[in-house]
Amino acid sequence: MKKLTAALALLAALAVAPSAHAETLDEIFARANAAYFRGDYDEAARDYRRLLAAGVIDADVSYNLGATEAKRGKHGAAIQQLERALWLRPGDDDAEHALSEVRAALGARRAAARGEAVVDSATFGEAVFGGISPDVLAVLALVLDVLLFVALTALLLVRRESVRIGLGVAAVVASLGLAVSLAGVSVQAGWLDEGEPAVVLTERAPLREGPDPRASARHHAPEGHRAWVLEREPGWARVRVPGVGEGWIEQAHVGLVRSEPR
Amino acid sequence: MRARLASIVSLAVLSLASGAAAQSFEATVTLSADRTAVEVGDVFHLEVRAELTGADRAELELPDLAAFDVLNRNVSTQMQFSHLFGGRPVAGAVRTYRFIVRARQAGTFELAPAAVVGPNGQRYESNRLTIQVGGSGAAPPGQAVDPVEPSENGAPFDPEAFVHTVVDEPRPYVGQQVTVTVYLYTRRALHGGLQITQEPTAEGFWVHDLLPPARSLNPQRRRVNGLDFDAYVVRQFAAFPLREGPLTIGPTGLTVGGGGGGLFGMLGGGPPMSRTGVPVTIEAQPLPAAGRPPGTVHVGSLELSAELDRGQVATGDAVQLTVTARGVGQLRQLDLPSPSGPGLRVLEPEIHDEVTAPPVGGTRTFRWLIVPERPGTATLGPFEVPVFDPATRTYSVARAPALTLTAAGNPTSAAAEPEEEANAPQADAPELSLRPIRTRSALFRSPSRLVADAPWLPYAFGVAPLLFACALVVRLARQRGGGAARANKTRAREAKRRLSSAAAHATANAPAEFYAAIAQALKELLEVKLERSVGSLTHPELRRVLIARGLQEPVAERVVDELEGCDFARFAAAGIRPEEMQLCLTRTRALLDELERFTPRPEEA
Repeated sequence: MKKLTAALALLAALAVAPSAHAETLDEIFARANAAYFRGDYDEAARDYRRLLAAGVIDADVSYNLGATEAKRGKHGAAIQQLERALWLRPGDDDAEHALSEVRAALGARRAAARGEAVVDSATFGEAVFGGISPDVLAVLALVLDVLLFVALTALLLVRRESVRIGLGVAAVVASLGLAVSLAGVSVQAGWLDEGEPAVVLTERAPLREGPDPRASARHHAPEGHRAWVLEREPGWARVRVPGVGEGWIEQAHVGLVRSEPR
Repeated sequence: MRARLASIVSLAVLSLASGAAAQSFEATVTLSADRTAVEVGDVFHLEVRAELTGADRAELELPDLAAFDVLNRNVSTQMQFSHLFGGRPVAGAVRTYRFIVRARQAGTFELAPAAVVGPNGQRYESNRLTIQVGGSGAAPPGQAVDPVEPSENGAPFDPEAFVHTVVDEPRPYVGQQVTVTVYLYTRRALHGGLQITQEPTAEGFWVHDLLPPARSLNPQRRRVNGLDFDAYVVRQFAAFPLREGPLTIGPTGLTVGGGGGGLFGMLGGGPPMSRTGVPVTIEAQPLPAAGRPPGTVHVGSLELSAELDRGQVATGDAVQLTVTARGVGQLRQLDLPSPSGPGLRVLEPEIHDEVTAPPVGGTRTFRWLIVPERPGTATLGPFEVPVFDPATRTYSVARAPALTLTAAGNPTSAAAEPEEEANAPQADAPELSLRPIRTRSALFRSPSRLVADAPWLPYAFGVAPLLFACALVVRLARQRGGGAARANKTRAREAKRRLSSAAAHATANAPAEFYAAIAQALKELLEVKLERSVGSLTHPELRRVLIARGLQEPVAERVVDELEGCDFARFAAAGIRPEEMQLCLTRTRALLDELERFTPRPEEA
């Protein structure tokens, strides 16, 4: 009897295995794209999110999901995904274009509802260094670091005045370049960030005094704004939204740019 | 402490002018109080006044105040000196002791007379004074009477001082106000002040402070376990439970005292004393399900009123709708749905809160700007909020009646779209012009950053500075160890190199340049050896210096001769032949070799 049960279980497993195997990441991606092209944005968003849930951290998937969410009118989620695409692939022209389009659409919608609109935009650091890959900036900083200290070491050894002047100029130029490239690396790598970067996903998301839905709402955060996640509790995050304030927000109202909590 | 008060016999030592001892001594002592009939806990004033005449030394005995708490005391002395016409100087003093005391227990207390003892032992006594203390004192205004005996409520009883946290409602409903009061019970006067070292936590509550930021600490008298304490309110706040279940008010920590205790230590000073209370847990109950109306329920009491600034407007003009909620409870939690209607554009409301306490309540005002975009009549409201009264445990509904808004005129262009659609997320928004999505992807499973996120990156930045630092250290070490000697060697080598350039000048038959190079080579080597400049020395002076520093006289002569020859030849170079220059070169080379072996003596001061 036991042998019969084991044989039946084996047969069942063999029957199920091919269908599970058929659901590859590429197929989910292709199906999501097909749904997008036929205008079924809900289906497309569901499939792209399945890829994210499967551990995919890819600029193309984030770009596609951002475009899909923009089509669905979910501008906060669109901004989150497009910012993630730009974090994964700095300088992505399509993603930058889509991000500015979505921000403009969000501003127009808000202006229609309230008579005025404030839409978040990139910070100065992101505007300056956003288009350069952090790898490029890191390599540049390393090269300039070596150049600077080679020039300084040579200044200790060389006596000829003309050479010393040249080394001094090279050291100054290298130190300036090093400072700029290190600033770029720190912006791109988030070394100076006050928390994890995130985006407010819903309009007038309440920032509460405590991690409880019945706690008083101190502020309301506008959709699409940058939020810095300072602390997390199950289902809640303590965030600071620049220009708005600080408080506890439900996890569903805020999306992390760089990774989702697992 | 109070026993010390009675034993004081040397408080008033008066040193008067010399010659006054012989004067006749007189003293008058009086004992008085601003009230002689008081209640327990009442504060009153006592005064001892001693008028002295003709004394150079007097002692004052004060009455025993052990039956009272001495809250404050001060002493003042007025000295008097006068010369009677044709007589000796007369000295005098008026010394006054003022006490602020508090009746501690009921009864009749007869204060013994105060007395002055004169220089010859004579004794001058004041009157006696009887103080009647009634049985019960009134609690200070504005302080609730503590209904709970601290020893029964988890307060860590201590015969000297302890902290007691009291909640007025141990089983409140969610959203119902609980008043939390933290008392300090102490038998020590607070002369050194009081510092809160640990604030009571209130996780799971919304809290509102009920005490003003600046206030004076007024104690009330309490008897606990047969001991009399002063109870001070150190914290008082309203706490509203945010969720049902057990919720805890954390313990309060504080430090008392540390002051000097006033004059002679009589006023109760001492070392700092720290006390911490215990947490107090309340059980928050859910609102009763029976009869509960739908929607979010306000706990407390509530009245709603609504008004429009205009009832009739032109289409496209904005009107302001104001809804005011007034009552008791957590009004900041109150939310009202925005009014809506066909052809109405309703902007986000402005919300204004005014909180009053106690009990915590006040007003919350919602102001909406409403723009009618189509002509017609719209009804705004009614506005309703379900209310639960915890006192009667009943539900009701606070209501503001509906208002009518009439718009006339042509519709505005924006009215073409219903307002809900303008607010709602729009599918496939036409204004978005996105580029095509990607149909191919590597579907990476992690950010593809090789360098920027590499763990070795910070160390790589450190390599070059480290090598530079090593080079710097090596250089500094080399400079510190024999740097000067190496510099001298270098200069000596340079001096010899000048001979090479002199040889070149000789070959080129340029006597002036040749002799200049020879002279410079000699002088450089001499400066290296002597460690001083020789350019300013005349030839006889140079000769003298070289001999003084230990150079053999013939060699010094040869050096000076060679330098003189160079000077002569540089200015009369016309007839000099190349052979002479070669001979000079040979002589100088030999001379430099000898000078290089020369070790000069230290220069005399």
